[in-house]
Amino acid sequence: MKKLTQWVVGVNILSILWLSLLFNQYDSKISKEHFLVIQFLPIILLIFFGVFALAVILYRVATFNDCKSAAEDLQAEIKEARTALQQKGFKFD
Amino acid sequence: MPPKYSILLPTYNEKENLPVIVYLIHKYLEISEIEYEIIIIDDGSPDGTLEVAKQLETIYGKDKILLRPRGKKLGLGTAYIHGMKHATGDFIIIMDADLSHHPKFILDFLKKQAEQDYDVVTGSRYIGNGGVSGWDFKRKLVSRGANFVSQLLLRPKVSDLTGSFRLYKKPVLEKLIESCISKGYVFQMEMMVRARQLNYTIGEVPITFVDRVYGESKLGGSEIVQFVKSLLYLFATT
Ligand SMILES: Nc1nc2c(ncn2[C@@H]2O[C@H](COP(=O)(O)OP(=O)(O)O)[C@@H](O)[C@H]2O)c(=O)[nH]1
Ligand SMILES: [Mg+2]
Repeated sequence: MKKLTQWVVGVNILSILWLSLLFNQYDSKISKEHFLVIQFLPIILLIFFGVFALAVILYRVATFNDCKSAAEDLQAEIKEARTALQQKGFKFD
Repeated sequence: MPPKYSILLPTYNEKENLPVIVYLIHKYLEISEIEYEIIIIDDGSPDGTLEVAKQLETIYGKDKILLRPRGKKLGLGTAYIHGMKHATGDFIIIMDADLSHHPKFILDFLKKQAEQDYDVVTGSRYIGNGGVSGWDFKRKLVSRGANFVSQLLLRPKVSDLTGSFRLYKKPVLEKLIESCISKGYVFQMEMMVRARQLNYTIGEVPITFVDRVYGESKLGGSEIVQFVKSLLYLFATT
């Protein structure tokens, strides 16, 4: 199944679950008491997910390794390469 | 017989970088007694990269340096295909020639591959000691954000989808290229998604990514637009 199809199917299943809650299919005490929450459930979930995503991304930005020494080492190796190559007869212009 | 490795170096205006990267590949692979060849695919660079490559061919020998130039700039995707046709190794290593990818990591790729006989080994900036050098907050944010979204939508089992420092078993790369439809920027991403689909085993090694010192990037500004397009394309078709 294509990724897009998987998402469409997933969203449909969730919508059906939500709609059946909304129209009191189960007619339970819980769905009556929490009607307001149930009404806004998709938006609430979306906001939760947004906050979660943002937190994860910011955490990963903060812990993204900054390899300063990699750049410095490379500079040194570039010099080394140029000298060694010149000795082998390479002509830089 | 020990395995042989073919390293593909596509170049466009890399006359400053090419000698250094060839020197470094030689430096790290020669002392480890690894058998290799470097295939340089230059697309008629106006800066004279091919002249530089010819000098390197004389210094290191025709068995180590293979020149397979093309007349004009035909793009990175087809450069790999072109280079692969001439490769004689059991494994193919693909890397940028602009020194963003350091040849010392090739040794890590080989070790990783041998661990579980992986079909593909891919470098990742996002794991272990991997990382980037000199990126500001905004660039890191874009990189991490784009990565988060692609993981969410594609679930590729690979942490660094847009990286292009990779090792493949030769038959695996041939099969992957055959099954990849796109040729442009999306190519690197599609290769990993197809690898997952075809149930190839994929290993990852941490790499550091250093911005190019010489010359300028050929992709540039429209990169984000390209990325989003590619992502949606793969999301809808794979
Ligand atoms: N043969 C060939 N090489 C290319 C072409 N475009 C880019 N390259 C090479 O591909 C590598 C990556 O390109 P670069 O401009 O650094 O891309 P970036 O790192 O994503 O900004 C470098 O070694 C370039 O010289 C092309 O059209 N033909
Ligand atoms: Mg680059």
